[in-house]
Amino acid sequence: MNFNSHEFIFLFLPFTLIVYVLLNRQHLTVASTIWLILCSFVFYCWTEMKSGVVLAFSILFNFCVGLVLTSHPPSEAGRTKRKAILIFGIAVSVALLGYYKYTGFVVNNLNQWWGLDLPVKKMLLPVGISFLTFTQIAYLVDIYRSPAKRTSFLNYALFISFFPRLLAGPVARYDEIIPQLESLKSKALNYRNLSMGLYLFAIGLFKKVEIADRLQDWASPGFDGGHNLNLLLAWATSLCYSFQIYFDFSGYTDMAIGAALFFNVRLPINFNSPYKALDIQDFWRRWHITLTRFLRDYIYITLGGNRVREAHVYCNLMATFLIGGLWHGAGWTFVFWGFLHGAAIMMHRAWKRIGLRMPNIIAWLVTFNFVNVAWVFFRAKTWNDAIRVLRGMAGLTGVALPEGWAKTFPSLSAYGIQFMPWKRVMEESRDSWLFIFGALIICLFFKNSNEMVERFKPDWKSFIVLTAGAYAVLHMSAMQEFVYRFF
Amino acid sequence: MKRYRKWFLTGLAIVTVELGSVALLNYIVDPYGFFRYGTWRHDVSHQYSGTSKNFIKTRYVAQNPLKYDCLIFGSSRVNGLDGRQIKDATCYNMNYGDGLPRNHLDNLRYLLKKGVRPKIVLIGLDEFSYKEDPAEHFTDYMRYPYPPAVHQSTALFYLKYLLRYSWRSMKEPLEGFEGKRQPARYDHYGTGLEDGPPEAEKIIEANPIKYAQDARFQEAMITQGDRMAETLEEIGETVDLLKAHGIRLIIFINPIHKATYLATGLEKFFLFEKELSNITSFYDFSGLNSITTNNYYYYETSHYRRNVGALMLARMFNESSVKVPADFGVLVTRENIDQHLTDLRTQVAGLGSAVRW
Repeated sequence: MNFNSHEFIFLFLPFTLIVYVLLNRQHLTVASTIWLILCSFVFYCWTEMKSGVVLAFSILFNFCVGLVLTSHPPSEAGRTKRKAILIFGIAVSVALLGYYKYTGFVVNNLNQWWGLDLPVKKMLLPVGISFLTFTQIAYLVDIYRSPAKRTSFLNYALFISFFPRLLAGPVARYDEIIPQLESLKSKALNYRNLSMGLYLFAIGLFKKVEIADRLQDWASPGFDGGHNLNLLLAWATSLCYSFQIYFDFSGYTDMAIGAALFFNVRLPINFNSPYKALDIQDFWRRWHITLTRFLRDYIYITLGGNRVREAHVYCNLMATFLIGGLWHGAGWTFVFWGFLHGAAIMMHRAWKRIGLRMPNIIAWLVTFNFVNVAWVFFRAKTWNDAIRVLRGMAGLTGVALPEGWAKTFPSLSAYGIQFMPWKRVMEESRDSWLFIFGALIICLFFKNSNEMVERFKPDWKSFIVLTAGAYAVLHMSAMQEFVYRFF
Repeated sequence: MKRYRKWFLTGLAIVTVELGSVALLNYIVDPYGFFRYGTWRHDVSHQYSGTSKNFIKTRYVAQNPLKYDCLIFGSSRVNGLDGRQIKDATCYNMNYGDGLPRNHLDNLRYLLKKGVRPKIVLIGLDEFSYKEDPAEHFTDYMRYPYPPAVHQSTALFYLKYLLRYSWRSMKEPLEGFEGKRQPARYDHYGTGLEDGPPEAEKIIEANPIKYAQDARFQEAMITQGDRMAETLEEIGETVDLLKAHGIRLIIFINPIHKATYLATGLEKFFLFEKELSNITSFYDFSGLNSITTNNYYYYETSHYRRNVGALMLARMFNESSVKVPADFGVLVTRENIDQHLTDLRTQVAGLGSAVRW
């Protein structure tokens, strides 16, 4: 089920909440937890029943591994055993992810590189399996590091399956959520949380439906159309996608955090105005914050982090981003996207060590444009599509300008620049630049949703946001899936 | 906390009023005619824009399972077939815009489940039948399937329909209410046919030669996509389904206007015919024949007129009282498909670059 669907907004969410509140009013807290778990499974299995089996197995297996881990004392003698159990637990989770997500990718590559003819089995990819796997790995590692963190099965099952964050995060840590689920305070009806949740949900819905989905209409033809793009059209295509993915994913996160607040659970923030970043490290501190945190804490630091010699640090950085790239999707374009960001982080580290600086405006331009170009590989379905869009952005497949400019810059014709009606320059994307500038202004000069909700006051001005959210409901008909739902 | 309670409840009330107003407007205007069924809203004489025929017709036949014993499925082109011409049968025309084999299969399964027992089913195919993706119909109210036929909730569908706002779909009905438009002439609760404005026919008959020279006949209808394997599988399932129920099935390929036919990509089209003949025999009214090459028989390069439909029915039901041109309509079987394709290739042999292969 999607957050931006009628069934979620008008049926699932109110019904789940009302029953949850009624159960808690009767002090049936265990029943209310079971109710939320059941509802989360319904939410997860709405379109595909089989995914629920994977989810159930994954929860059961990891909880049992956690139990075994905590039953072995963290003494010197038990250390090897505990480590083996942890590795086993992680290996099974990773194998499950690998089986569902990467089998086709591996088989295709084997066939291509080794000339084999292995059959590529089309299999169901349980939605959000990547998020699920990372959350469970984090739990096992946390339990390994601090055995005292053990919890009941019901709370664990709810922590993993809690529907607001089940499909696309935020990748919350055990100690951020479990204490809230265990607290009796979270069982009471809290109008402050309800108001803030509704407010944030409305912001997220508006971002998704009115901004991201419209940008998608202009980004997709450029990426998937297969035809050459002129300079302006290629830039519009890539910029539309850069803003689409931000408004889509941050909108999703706002809705997730908002929906969780209805149940008095505060999820960690995931975005903090990433397009304001002045360097690539800053960008990753602001973009998909919970994933960055996971990659840092559970991969980069495990590899040795920056406590090793400098050359090794660079390798660790690259390895972390390559894994991050592959986590996003089973394709070489995703790996290359990870490589680009890894290389940029390495360069940034070297730059900082040398002690060089650049003016903020140039730093922003470099960072934003790098991120924008890297998104081309992230979005393109094939290498050829990515190269085609990049060639267009470099002006290698033609430069066309609006015919009104011909009088101002007549000499440009001598360089092969064509002047034609705006309609022909931009094809179906005539209005895209308006949206691109609008989105840029929102990203750079407006408060982000976290800041808005922090300053939330129950006054008439806040109703404007609600009205905007309701307006977005009226445009949900051509429902679009969230981009990160497929990772 | 009281302030928050007040704000939350007021907020919910504001949202309810906002959405409720739009829902009420949608219910009254009903741009796709979903609610023009039942008691006081039964007739569609106030329908000023295109109705959702796939939905409305399937619902109607399912709720009147014994009324018809002959069903005609197909795209809007099939509206050219007037089922009243078929002897000893009460026919209903299920056509709707871009009707595809996937939809026909879903609808047939559902209708049979609801107790509809036709003696004859006719299914019209087009050059886009194996190209267009039926999934796209789920984002288009004009073509949206009747939810129970695709295992969806009707109540949820109505909720989505009422809670939407699109100026584009409101424009025509509102112009109708202002008296700027004539209501469409639908017979959804009778024959399933839609009649065009009578003036259109008068204009054609007044000067057929001038009409045939109209520029509209230069513009081919071009569709993209490739769903051939899936489409053939769906047709196969339909054949098996009707066979299992002892229902006579007649499949035919519509008479595709010359301009559209030549632009469709003929290699794929011929391959489709070849594969289709392995599944079932069918009537082929396409190709370059005395009907498809004469603009007089068409409204544009997609839809043929009722007089063409009469010839098609006469051919398929061996109606000797109607004189059908000898080159119009071939019964294609597994045995004669190769010869038929050779004939079709011969027809276009001298046309050079005018043909899109």
